Amino acid sequence: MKRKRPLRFAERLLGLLAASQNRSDLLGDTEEEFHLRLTEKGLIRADLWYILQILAPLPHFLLVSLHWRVVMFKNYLKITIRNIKRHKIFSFINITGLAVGMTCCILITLFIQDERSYDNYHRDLDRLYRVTMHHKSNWEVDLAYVGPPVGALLKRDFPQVEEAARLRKLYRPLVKYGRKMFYEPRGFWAENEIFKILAFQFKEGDPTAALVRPNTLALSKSTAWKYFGSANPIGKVMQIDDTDYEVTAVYADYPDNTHFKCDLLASFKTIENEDMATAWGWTNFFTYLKLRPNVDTAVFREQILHLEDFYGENDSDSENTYFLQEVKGIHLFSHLAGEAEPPGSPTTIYITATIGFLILLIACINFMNLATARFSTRANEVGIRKVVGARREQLIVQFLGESMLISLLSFIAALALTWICLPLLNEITGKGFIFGDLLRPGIIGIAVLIVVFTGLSAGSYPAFYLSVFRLGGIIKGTVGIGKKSVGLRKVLVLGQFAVSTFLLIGTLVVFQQMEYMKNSSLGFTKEQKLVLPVKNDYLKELDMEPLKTEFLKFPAVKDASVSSHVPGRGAAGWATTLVGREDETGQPMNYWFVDFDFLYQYELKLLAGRGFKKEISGDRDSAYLVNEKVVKAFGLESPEEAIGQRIEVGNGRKGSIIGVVQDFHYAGLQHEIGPLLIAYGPDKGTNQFNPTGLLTLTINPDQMARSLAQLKQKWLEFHPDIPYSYFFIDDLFDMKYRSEARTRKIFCIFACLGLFIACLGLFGLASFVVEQRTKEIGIRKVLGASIPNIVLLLNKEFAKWVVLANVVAWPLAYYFMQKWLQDFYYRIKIGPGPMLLSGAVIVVIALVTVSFKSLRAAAADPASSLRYE
Amino acid sequence: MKELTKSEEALLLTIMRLKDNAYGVAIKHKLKETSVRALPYGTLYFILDQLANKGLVTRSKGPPTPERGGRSKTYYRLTHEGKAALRSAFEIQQKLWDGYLDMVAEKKAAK
Repeated sequence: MKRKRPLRFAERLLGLLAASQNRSDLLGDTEEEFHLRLTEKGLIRADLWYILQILAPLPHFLLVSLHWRVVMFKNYLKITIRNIKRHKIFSFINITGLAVGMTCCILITLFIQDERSYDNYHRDLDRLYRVTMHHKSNWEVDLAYVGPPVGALLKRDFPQVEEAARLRKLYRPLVKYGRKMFYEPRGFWAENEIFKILAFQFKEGDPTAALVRPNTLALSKSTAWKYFGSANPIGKVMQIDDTDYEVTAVYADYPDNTHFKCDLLASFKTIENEDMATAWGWTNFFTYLKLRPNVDTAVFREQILHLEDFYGENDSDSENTYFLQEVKGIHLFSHLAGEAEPPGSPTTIYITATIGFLILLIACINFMNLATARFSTRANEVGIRKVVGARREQLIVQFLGESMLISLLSFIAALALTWICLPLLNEITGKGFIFGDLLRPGIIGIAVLIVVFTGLSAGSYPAFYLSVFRLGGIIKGTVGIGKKSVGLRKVLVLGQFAVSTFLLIGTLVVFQQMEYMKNSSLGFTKEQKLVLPVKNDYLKELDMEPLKTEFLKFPAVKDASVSSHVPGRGAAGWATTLVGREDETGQPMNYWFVDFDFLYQYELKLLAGRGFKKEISGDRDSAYLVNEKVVKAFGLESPEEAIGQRIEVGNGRKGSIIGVVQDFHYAGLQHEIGPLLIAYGPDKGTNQFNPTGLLTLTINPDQMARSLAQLKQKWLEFHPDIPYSYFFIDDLFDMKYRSEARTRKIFCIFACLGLFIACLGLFGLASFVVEQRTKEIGIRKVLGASIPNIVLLLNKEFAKWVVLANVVAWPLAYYFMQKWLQDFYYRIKIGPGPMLLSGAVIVVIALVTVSFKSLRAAAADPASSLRYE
Repeated sequence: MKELTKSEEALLLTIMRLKDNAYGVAIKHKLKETSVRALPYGTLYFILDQLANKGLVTRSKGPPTPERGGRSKTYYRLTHEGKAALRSAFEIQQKLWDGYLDMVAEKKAAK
């Protein structure tokens, strides 16, 4: 059938273009004429004519509407750029304020997106779970792993489970291939099913058969490279803790954002045995499940909750309950004992997100303040625009466009700032962001959102508020801004300064505590102490003595000793009783095993008695040195009284106390010094409990690198099959204070940011108030007020608010910093120092900021200020 | 009363001449026949709106028509003021052109 009506889309289009009141007439007329043409000239010509009707107004539209729009846009742009140029200080404040806010937002977004992206890459993520347990006996604990029967039975007896895999962590095994050997911190024994549950990208080998046989091994790409270089690793045999494994597969390296990081997977079959079927209490096995689609997890959770009862496994002493944990939530929400990787913290995310948003919001509010404060300089322009015929919408568009442009400029500045700050973020979060990460679609989306949000929110108040002022008022200059908004502004400034003061006090307190920890004597010398550790397994057949003697021959080595522990490296523990008081329960005490030289090398101070002596044979197996805390713990009066007392240790070794050393901070200043007993250790036979695997050398710091190279060479000469590694005692203690250093840095950064933005706010408020009081200042000057009078008058008002902010911040800061200090057993007392200092700093900064404005106002010629209308 | 523009004058005259059938298409075509003006619909309706706003014409809706896609026609009719405006326009024209015909006649006679 032949079409009788105009093309549908053409009709629609014409309808869209027509003015609303005449639309029906216009469409009707055109269609009627279309019909005429249809009958006279045919369909095609009629259609063509119809389409021409649509295009007909185009030239007119282009000329009139678009042309003028472009002209106006150019005008707006010109005015905006002129304004930015003319008021350089204001523009600078606005742009930097917003840029700082945006930078915070961008960095925090980057951090949050990364935290949220954990484990997103696994297939069927919503069906992946880990089984966890809660153990309750005379103590309670939540565990990330369970006993070996769990995984096997769940797979066998529960139809909901599609796949199950058990993994057991390898604890820093020594991995060897030929002459290459390393300790590998991230390894597991794993069942082959793990490849069907978590996503692994295989480079070599067969994912269905890689870990099916005993003594097989899958490596990550970079690990394989480490041992084999470019050679094909498949079929090669490596030793893990002296057991042979054949490499059967190589998989791509894990991404950074996964909770499950593994460099090598050894086959579970290697360690599997019959005991595992019943060893419920052997909670050492990470168990991952993949459920079938559409499983009712609530029912399944209920079923496995009392799994042990289900299998008739009843242990009256303890009660274990089992839980399912979504794999996607492990990184952020799982904080169980035995977690293989340090988890993230959702609270941190909420807090940082809030801080980022607040900083941006405050910057926006400051922008608004400055814009309104500066209104009088723009009032004439607005007035003239209105006179010439600008509609309100046009003014709104103009002001919003202006703030958008500033927002965009700020964003460019923010990008530069982000680039500068990225290393800082990486240092604080311990992640490896690069600038290219900003190009992720999520981040770009957020960035656009930030720019638009900032532009709209910062420009909204000026745009909507300023555009309604009535013409007469604007031109006469009698437009006032209500008292209410001044009050609001002051509260805002108060809040900003309170926050800055709080952060500044925090910084000072953290700083003081750190200085205190760094400078207070630990009770032993930690400088120039190099420690060479040997893994316990090797000590059975290893005698450290010859190596020690050899090292002492080096001129750079001043002293050497072997011990089971060194300061900063923990201690063993046994319950200990005093002989003659066996009725008392033993007290938990710490133990170190050392050789004859240890005491002198670390310069521990003897308060009574003597150290170990080579000549006295009893010192080797039945003598103890104790610290003051032991004396106190046994209720003895003085160190002298302790000498000669006999003690019995939980491991069955008896002995007498031959000396008392002064308390020293062997665990760092965060912790209270505990009772410590030191016994002679390195002899064969006695070191089965505490192998003395740490060789400490006191090294001359000159030519350190050369000494280290020589030491390594000698080591390899003596023990080519034991890896050589070392650490320094003072590094160890510095590491202990790293989280404090990080806290200090975060406090410091936020304090600076807070102070900076608060000053911007204050400056805005000051300009605003000075603008308002121009006339008053003029009259005061005419009546004889001096410049200092007026500066004082203006500054006083702001000082009041800043001081008030301090008063608000002090108790808060005191309370929270006191809480923070609770973590340290040896801590400073918070005196008035930090409060007063930060208060003074803030008041001075605030007054300097205000004085910029007030001095200028006070110095102005009263004639011009009084004539300003 | 304000003087009519040329276009307004032409439209009013066309509406007058079309009597009861003065709607969009008809006006446009009549205008094209009688004068050199070929107004596009957009302009036509703009002027009609102005005339209606001045109270020189009234609108009335007709029944829906199939060839207009089921839309109704809007008819225009002169009001009393419209007629008065035309009359005064005519008078002005007459005064302005007074003597022209005589001049033409004289010239013919002279030839």
